Amino acid sequence: MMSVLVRQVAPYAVILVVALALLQRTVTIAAAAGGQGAIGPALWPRLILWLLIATCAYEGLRRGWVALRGAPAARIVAAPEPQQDAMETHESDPRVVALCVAATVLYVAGLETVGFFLDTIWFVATLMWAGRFRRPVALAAISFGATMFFMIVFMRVIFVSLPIGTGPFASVSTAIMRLIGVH
Amino acid sequence: MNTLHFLAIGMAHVFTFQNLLMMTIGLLIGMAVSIMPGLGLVMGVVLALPFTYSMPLEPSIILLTAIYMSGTYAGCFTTILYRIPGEPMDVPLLWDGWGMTKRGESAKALGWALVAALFGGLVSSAVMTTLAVPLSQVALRFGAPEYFAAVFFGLTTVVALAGNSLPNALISLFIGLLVATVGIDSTYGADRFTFGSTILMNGIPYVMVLVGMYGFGEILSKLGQGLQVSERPDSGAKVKTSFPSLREMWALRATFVRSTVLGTVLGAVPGSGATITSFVSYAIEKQYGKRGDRIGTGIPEGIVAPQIASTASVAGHLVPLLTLGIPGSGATAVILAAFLLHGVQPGPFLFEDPNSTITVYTIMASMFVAVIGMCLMGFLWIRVVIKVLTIPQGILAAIVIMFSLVGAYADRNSLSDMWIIVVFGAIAYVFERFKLPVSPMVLGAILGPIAEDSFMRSMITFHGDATVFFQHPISGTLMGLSILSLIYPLARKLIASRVRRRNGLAAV
Amino acid sequence: MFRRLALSLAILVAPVLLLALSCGLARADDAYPNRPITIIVPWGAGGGADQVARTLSKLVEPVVKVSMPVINVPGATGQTGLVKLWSGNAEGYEMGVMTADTFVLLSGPNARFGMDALIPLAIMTQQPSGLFVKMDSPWKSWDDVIAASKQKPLRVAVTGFNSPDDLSVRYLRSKGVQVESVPFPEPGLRYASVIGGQSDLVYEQAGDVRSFLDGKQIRPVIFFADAPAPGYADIPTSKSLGYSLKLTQFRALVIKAGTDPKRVKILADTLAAAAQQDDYKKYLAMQICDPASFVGTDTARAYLENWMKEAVAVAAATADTTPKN
Repeated sequence: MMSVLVRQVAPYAVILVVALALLQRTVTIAAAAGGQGAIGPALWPRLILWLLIATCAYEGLRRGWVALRGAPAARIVAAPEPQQDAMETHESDPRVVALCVAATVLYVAGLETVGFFLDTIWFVATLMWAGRFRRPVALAAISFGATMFFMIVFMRVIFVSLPIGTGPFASVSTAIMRLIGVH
Repeated sequence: MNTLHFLAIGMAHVFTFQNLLMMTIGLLIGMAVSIMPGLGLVMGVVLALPFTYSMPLEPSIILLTAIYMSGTYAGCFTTILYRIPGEPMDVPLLWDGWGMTKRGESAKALGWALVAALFGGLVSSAVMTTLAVPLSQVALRFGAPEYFAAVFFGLTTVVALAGNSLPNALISLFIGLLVATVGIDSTYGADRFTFGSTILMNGIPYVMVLVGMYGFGEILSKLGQGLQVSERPDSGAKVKTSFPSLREMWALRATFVRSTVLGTVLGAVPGSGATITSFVSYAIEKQYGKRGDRIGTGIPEGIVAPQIASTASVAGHLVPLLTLGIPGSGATAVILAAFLLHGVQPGPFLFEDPNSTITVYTIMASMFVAVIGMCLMGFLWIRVVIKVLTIPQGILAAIVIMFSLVGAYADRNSLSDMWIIVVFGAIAYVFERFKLPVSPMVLGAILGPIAEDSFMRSMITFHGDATVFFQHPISGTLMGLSILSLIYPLARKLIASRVRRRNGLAAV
Repeated sequence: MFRRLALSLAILVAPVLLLALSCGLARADDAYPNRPITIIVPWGAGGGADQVARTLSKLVEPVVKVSMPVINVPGATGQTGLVKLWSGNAEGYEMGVMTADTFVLLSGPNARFGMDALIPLAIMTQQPSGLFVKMDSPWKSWDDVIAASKQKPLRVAVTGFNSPDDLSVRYLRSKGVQVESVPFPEPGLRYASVIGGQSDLVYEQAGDVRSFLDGKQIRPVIFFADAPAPGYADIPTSKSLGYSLKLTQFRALVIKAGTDPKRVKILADTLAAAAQQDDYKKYLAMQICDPASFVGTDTARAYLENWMKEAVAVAAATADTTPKN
C-alpha cells in the first residue's frame, strides 16, 4: 500500500519541491532589476511557477487520496498515453540507450580537444554499431564518408567553422581542411 | 485590373532562365534545411544570403522567397514518416500525422499535407496580392493584448495533447514555459535561473528543446528498441503520396477555409511567424472543427489545418514587407537585408517607380510559381525519401543524430547548444518513464518567449491592469474562447463521471 | 567484433595522421591571414549590425584574399556573441561587431567582462538617434509632443529597459516630458507599433527606419545630435533644445585583447581602407550615418571612453526621477 502511495505521489512531490525552490530564486531576479512594483522580470516566471505548484499539488493529492483509499490501480494510472504507445510496445534496451548517451556525452566533451574530424569518425561508427549495423569495413567507410560530407557541407558550402581541436589533433584537422580546400 | 496587368508582366519575368533557376535552387535548399532537424528555414535563408551579393535583385529575392516557401512545407515528410519534426511549425502536424502513419496511412497523410500546402499557398498569395494594403492596416492594429490572447489560444492546444491526464499535460506545459524563461530576459536584461552558468545565461532556444526531445530523444529510443521501426504497419516500399479524393476534400471544406483565412490574416500580423499560425490553426480546429474531439488521434484535419496555416503565412508576411517595408518574421527580416544590401528599401514608394513596381510584382508572381513548383517537387521528392527508408536503420540513426547535433551547433556556433540537446534528450526519456507527455513541454518552450513578451508588454503598457486582455474586442473574444476550450473537457469529464457514478449506483 | 572494428578504424585513421604530420606540421606558420576570418554579429540576421558586417565582408574579402563569413550569435542584448568572441582564442581569426546597446552594458553591474578584454579595431558607423511619430500624427513639432505628454503620458517604443533608448526616455522625463518606455526587442514589431498606433513615438536611428521615412509613414520630431541630420534641417536637435543628450548609436568592430599586434594592424588597416571605398560611403549615406563615421583603431578607444562618460552623465541626470514602472 505504502509503495503504491510513494510511487504515485513522489514525482509530483519532486516537481513541487523544485518549483518552490525556484520560486525562492525569483526574489533575486526581482532584486537585480531594481525591484520596484509587481511588474518586472520575475513576474512571468512567478506566475508560471504558481500555476505549476497548484497543478502539482492538486494532482499529487488526488493520486495520494485515491491510492490511500485503495482504489484499483487502473483508476489511478488509467490507460497509457495513446500517442506514445507505439513506442512502448517494444521494450527499450536501457544498455543501448546508455551506450548512446555516454557516446554522445564523450563526443560533445571531446570536440574542442580532438576536433570535429577525428571525434566524428568514431562517434558515427559507435552509433551505427549500436544500431546493429556491424559490417566493419562498410562501417569504417561510411563513418569516414559521413564525416567528410559534414566537413565539406559545413566548412565549404555554408562556412560554419567546426572545431579543429588542439595540439596534434589540430594539425590533423587543418590537413583535412586543406584536402577539401578550405582556406 | 491594374494588379492583374502587373502580375502578368511579373509572371513573364519569373519565367526567365536565371529567375527560374534561382527558384529551383531555392526550393531545393528550403526542402533540404527543413527536413533536417536542427537546421531551420531561417538558417537556410541566412546561409543563402551571401550568395545573393553578386546577383541582381530579382533573382536574389526569388531565391530567398523560394527557400522560405518550401521551408514551411518539406518538414512534413520527416514529421509524418519518422515522428521527427524538421521545423517548429511542423510540431502540430506530428500529432495527427504520426497517428495516421501508425495506422498505415502515411501516404494519405503526405497527400493531405501536399494538398494543404498547395491550397494555402495559392489562396493566400492571391488574397495578399490583391488586398495587401487594407489587410496589413488591420493587422497593424494588433496590439500586445491581442497578441498575447492569440498565443494563449495556441497554448490551449495542450488540451488536445493531454491524452487522459490534463494535469500531467499542464505540468509538462508549465515546465516548457519555465524552460523558455531561462537566460537573460529580453525586456529587462535580468539573469533568470542561470545559476551563474554561461551556458544557461545564453538561454535555451526552443529549437534545441525541439531537436533534443523529438529528434535526439526519438532516435535514442529507436536505438534502444533495436530499431524496429521498419516493422510498423506500412513498410517503406509501400509509402507513396496518395491524394485525397475531391469528395474527401469537400468534406473538409470548412477546415480549408478557416485555416487559410487564419494563416493569411494572422500571418500578416508582424511578429507572428509560421509557427504561431500553425499552432493557433490547430487549436481552432480542435475547438471548432466538426471532428474536433478526434483531433490528435490521426485525422486529416490535424494535418491540413497547421500545414495550410504555415504555408499561407508566407504570403501573409512577404507582402507587407514589399508594400509597407515591415519584416514580420525572422525569414522576412533576412529578405529585407537582401533588399538593403542591393541598395533598395522596400516600402510603399517602390510603387512610385514603374521599374521597381515590376520588381515587386515579379516577386509576388514568383510566390505562385514557387508554391506550384514546391508541390511538384514534393511529389517527386517523396520517392527519394522512400529510398532513404531502405537504408539500414543504424546508418540512418547515426546520420540523423549528426544532423541534430551539428545543425544545433551551426545555429549559434556554440558547443553549449549541443549539450542542451543531449540534456533534453535525456529529459524526454525521463518524462516518458513517468508518463508525462513530451509534446506540451515542447509547445510551452516554443510559444513561451512570445507569450511572455506580449504579456509583459501589455502589463507595462497598461500599468499592470490584467483586465485589459478582456476589454479589447479581439483579445477578449480570443481569451473567452481559450478559457472555454480549457474548461470544456473538464466539465465534460465531470458530467461523465457523475453519470457513471449514478449508473454504477443503480447497478448496485 | 570489437577487434575487427578497432582494426578497421585504425586502418582508416592511420593514413590521415600520416598525411597530417607530413603536410600539416610542415606548413603550420603561414602568412596571416591564411584561413577564413569570421565576423561575429551578436544580433539577428537582417538588422543594422548584420548589415555593417555583411557590407564589410563584401568589401574586404577581395583585399585580404580569405573568405569572411558572417555568423549571427544573437542573445542577451548582444552579450552572447561578444562572450563567444571573448572566450575564443586570440589568433586574429574572429572579429565581432559591437553596438552602443551592448557597450553600455559593459559598464553595468552584471557585465561578464570589461572593455579591456577587447580591442576596438574601428568605429564603422555613427548614427544619430531620434524620436519618430506616425505621418498623420497631430503633433507637428516637438512642442506639440511636450504639450500632448502633459495630458497623458506618451508611450515610446524602445528596444528594452536599461538600453540607451530607455536611458534617453528617462532623461527626457527628468526634463519634464511625460514619456515612458515600452520595450519591443523585435525591430519589426517596434516599427509596426508606431505605424499601427500601439505606441506614440519610436526611438530609432533614422537610417534603420529609412524605408518608413521615404515611404511617408513616419516622420522625425527630434534628433539627439549636435547638428541636424542631412535632409532634416528643420527638425530640432537635442543641442538646439538645450538637452545634454546624444548617445549616438555606433557600430564598432572589435577583436579579442591579446591578439598579435601585427595582426591587429593588418585588420585595422584593411578596415580603414574599406572605409575609403565609394561603396562604403554609399552605404553610409543610405543608412543616414555621419559621413565622418569612421574612427581608426588608434583613437577608437578614446571615442568609446568619451561615449561612456556621456552615458554615465545621462544616467546620473535620470537617477532622481520616478521608478520606471
